[in-house]
Parts: sequence; C-alpha cells; structure tokens
Amino acid sequence: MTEKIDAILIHKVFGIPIFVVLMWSLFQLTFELGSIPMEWIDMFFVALGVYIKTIFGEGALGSLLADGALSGVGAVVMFLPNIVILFLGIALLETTGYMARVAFLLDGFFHRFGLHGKSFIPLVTGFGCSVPAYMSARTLKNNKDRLITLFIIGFMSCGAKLPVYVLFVGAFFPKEQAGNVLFLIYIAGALVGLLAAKFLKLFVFKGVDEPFVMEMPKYRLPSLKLIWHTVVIKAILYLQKAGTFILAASMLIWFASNYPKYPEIEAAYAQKIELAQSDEAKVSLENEQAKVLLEKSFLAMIGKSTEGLFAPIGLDWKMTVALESGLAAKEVVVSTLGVLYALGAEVDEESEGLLEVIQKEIPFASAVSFIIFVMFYLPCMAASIVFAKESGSYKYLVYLFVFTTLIAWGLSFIGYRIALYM
Amino acid sequence: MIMLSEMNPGEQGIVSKIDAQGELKQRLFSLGLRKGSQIKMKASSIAKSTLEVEVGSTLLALRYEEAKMIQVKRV
Repeated sequence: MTEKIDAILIHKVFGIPIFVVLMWSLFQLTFELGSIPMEWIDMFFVALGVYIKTIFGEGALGSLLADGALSGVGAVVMFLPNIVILFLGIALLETTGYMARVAFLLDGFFHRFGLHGKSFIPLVTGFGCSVPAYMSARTLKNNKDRLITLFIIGFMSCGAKLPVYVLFVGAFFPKEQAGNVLFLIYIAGALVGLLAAKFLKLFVFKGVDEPFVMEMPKYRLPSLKLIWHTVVIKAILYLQKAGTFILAASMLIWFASNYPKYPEIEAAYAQKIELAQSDEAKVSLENEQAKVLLEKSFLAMIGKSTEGLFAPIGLDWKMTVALESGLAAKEVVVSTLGVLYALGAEVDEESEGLLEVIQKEIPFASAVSFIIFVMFYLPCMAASIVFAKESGSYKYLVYLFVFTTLIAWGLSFIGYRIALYM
Repeated sequence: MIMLSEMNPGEQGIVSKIDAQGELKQRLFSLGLRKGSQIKMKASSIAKSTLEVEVGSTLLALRYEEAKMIQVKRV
C-alpha cells in the first residue's frame, strides 16, 4: 500500500508539483473558508464595542475599552478560523506521514541554501503567522539548522502584513497589475529569505551539516482524536495570546496616540464643531482635531525622535511611527496610518479615502521603500518573544533585530534610490 | 562492491562496510542499517540528491553524501 502511494507522491517528476498543488489548496481553503466566520466575528466585536460605549460612555474609559482593547483583540481573534484551518491541514499532512515525503523531496533544493529538508514546514507556516512557525521549527534537531530557519521565518510575509501590501499596491500600481505585484512581494520575500539562509550558513552558523537520515513512516489514516486534540490546543493558545499580549499592546498604542491631553485645544474644537453648519463640516473638523492632537501625542514624539534614521530611505515621521507601532503587531501599521492621515481610526485596507490620501501625500519612491521595509523588518512583539524562547536566548533576539533591520534598511535604501529614477 | 549511492531503483544488496563515524554511525545503526543488513533501493529525488531505501521492513531516506559512505555487495 505504502509502496503504491509513494510511487505517485514521491515521483521524480510529479512529486513536487503535487506538493505545490496541495499547499496551494490548503492556502485557498485557509483564506476562502476562513473568511466566512471572520465576518461574523468582526460584526460581533463591532457590536460589542458599540454596546460597551453605551455602558461606559464616550469618555476615556469607554474609548480605552472599545477603541483600544476591543478593536485590537477583535482584529486578532478574527483570524482564529484561518489559524484553525491551517493547523488542521498541517496536522493532517503530518499524521498521515506525508510531511516526511515532502522533506525527502525538498531536501536537495533546501540543502543548497544551507537549510534542512525539514525547514520547509516552519517556513510554509510562516506565511500564515510567525508564532506557530517558530514553534514548529522544533522538529529540527540540529541547533544550527534550527537557528538559521528561525532567523529567516520572518521573511515569509505573514497574514498580518497583507493589509499593508493591499493598501500600498492599490494606491500606487494600476489595478490590472496589482495582483502580480502582490505575488512578486511574497516571492521576493521568500527568495531573500533563502539567500539570507545561505549567508548565515556560510558566515555565522558554520559547521558540519546535520546528516539527513530519516525514517519514512508508513502511510496511515489519521486519528481523529489526535487531530482534534492538536487543533484545540492550538486554538486555545492563540486565544490566550489575544487575551493577554494583544490586549496589553492595544491599550498601550491607544494610550500613546491619545495622550498627553490638551484640554485647551479640545475645548476650542468643541466650540467650532458646535457651530458647524453641515455634518460634513463637523466630520472634517473632527478629523482635523484628531490630527492636531495626534501631532502632539506620545506616538508623534516617538516618531519624530527617530525620523532622522529613516530620512535616507525616504520615510517621514508618520511612516516611521507606523512602522514602529507595527512592532507591536503588523495589523497596527494600517490603522496607525489611518489615524495619522486624519481619517479616524476606523480605516481598513479597503477604504477608498485612505488610499487616495496616501496616493496624494506619499511619493511613489517612499511607498516602495515602505513596502520593502515592512517585508523584512522585525516580526511583531508576540512573535519576537516566541523567537527568543525557541532560539533559547534573548541574545539571539538582539541579533535578529540587527539582522532584519540591516536587511530591511539596506534593501529599502536600494529600492528607494531606484524608484527615484523611475 | 559498489556504493549505495551508485545503486539504481529496484536493485538489492547486502551492506558490507559503513564508513561513517560517531553520531551518524549510531543513527544508521539504530535504524537497522549495519554490516550484513539486506538493503533495497526504492526511489530517488531529482538529481539523486536524496534516496529512499528499504532496510528490513523499514523505509529510510538519506542524502547522496551519506549513501556514499555505505558499501554494498549486489545480490
């Protein structure tokens, strides 16, 4: 039986295409099927936010809970269906014995870049989210192979970076090319990741290769109980992260963008809004007020203090602070940009307004530089903490920070200069 | 006498010598690959970079480089 299946699945010619199609289907399923309950969860959190504001009022407490805590946690819980489907698929592939075959098929290719055949599982998972990707790198027994894999997982663009790409590609490229550019971004990230692995293998984590001797398990039907157990544990861990870390980070960002308070400015605007003739004028005044207050918030202070470092790659303080808030979670990049360009916090990648403002206010070359920086810089805080745990030392997190920042800055610089001449 | 790496899919043999040291030798031994074991080449990936062999009733995957260390007597 195993022999017959192997004749197809590890076929010299068809083996890799079959694997590519299987993975493609898994991703299609993850995003297509996952988007259905996603809308319900989104609606639930929006409704809950409205309800909370009716209880706690529009003041600081209501805003902290609804705009800070709830919108932050909601944005993460929303991805639970995708995560569950992805892990279900990976658990299925693992328990049937197919993963060992893929490691067999890909080892030759990966070996050339200093990676191990088994590295592919964490790398593929990295396109979903870096946190489970770092954890799944445990399957690599050799410490150096595992470290190289851990260092490049961040270059596989995770799901949370997608809104940033969709926003910028939509704003700066013609519609018929947008899909191709998006595809190019993902491929380029993976390619740079492979080259970075080669570099690390040659200069940093030198040493003898781990021999690739692996038992190929017989194919077997997956145990439902085992798969159920794996998926449930993954789901609980994910929700735990949302309820603890994301909760704290969202409230922090909310605080930094809302404080310190300037009662005089607020009073002045309250008067103007009171006197405004049309609803339109009211909204534009409210937006203007948010903008003025934001220019004086802690977040702006942080952004302006580091502006100089990003000037050579064409980024102003607003883009700088968006990148910095993205260190907490990549989802925050787009919502920060929305706030900063004075359109209120309820902006997602599909809102026409933000797209147009960005088109007008950000030069093309700076946009290119921004996209490249997002592709390669440090993963979010949750992922970074998991990285430190999995690599075994916070020392490696410092290395990761230096490594990713240098690559991101360097490539952004090149991209920016080239785009300037285009 | 040939090296395991030179065998073609379908061919069988008996291991006559293993040139590996330390950990790798241990690993091969624990998977049943030792002097005197029956071995059968099953398949190889593109450019022969990885090979699948059958030892006893277990299936093993190894790289070309490791297969070069294993001497086999064709049967």
